[in-house]
Amino acid sequence: MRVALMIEGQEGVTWEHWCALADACEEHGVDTLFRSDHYISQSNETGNVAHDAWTTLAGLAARTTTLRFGTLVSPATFRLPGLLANAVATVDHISGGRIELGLGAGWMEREHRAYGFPFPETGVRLEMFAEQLEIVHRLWSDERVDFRGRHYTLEDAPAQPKPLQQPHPPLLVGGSGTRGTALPPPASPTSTTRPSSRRTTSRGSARRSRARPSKPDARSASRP
Amino acid sequence: MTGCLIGDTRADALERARQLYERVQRDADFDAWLDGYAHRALIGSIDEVAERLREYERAGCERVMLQHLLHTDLEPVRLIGRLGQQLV
Repeated sequence: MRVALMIEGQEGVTWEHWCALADACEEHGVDTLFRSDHYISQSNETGNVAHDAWTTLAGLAARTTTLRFGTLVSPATFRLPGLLANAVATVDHISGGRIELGLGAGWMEREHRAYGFPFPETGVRLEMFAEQLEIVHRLWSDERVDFRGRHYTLEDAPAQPKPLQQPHPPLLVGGSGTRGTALPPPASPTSTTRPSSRRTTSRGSARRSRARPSKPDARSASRP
Repeated sequence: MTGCLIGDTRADALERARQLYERVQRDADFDAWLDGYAHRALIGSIDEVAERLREYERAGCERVMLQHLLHTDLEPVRLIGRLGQQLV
């Protein structure tokens, strides 16, 4: 069994705390450091700092050599999928292939209202989540990407940068309840994605889409 | 993912539980809060937590994320690193 450390980054974890945690993980052989992805503390909004998840992980990735990192989980409501795919691929390069992406529909209404992130009703957020999962996976896997969904449209994206890990960094799906764990939902009627490119399992609250991360140098590994 | 309050000994873990309890204002008293938290957290010595994780492993669980809420306390990071090596 793999054992990871999970830190609630929005609860007052300063940059100095993050460095100390990551250093301690490497010193004591922790497999993976996961962090939440939120912009507001749930216990003390003004007293607890909440640093952005992916920029924090980029900094920690540059600081470390063996520790794996990931989010549990990044809400689809925060970032456009083109930005997210690039950010995670970039941190994958910075880290030398030590990154995992957890993705979910988003649930904490308060942080969305506070900072102006859209927060549509649950069914819509799940659609956004499903489209993001598909787009990120295709941007990491396909040569070029055209996508016409209900929420996102990509026109002839050159799909760069590719992540270092091949076929791609592990994708973890977060959710609970019958709807949150029912992914992947059917593709939207206007999706241009080939059925064979959709994958991920969702029986648990957070499942890897691959058994183990592949070696960064395994670039000739077959596509999923 | 599950909450985790771990120590070299059970007493150490319960001391961490006390610190977590006192971090915010709570309606329940300590024992009632701890009873509730124990339903969504692994609480105990490293050996006790390892035994619980082995049960999960026997049930087919391949990976666990241990939520550590007292993030300035680095001792549990050392113990979680040891757990990972024991359970390989």
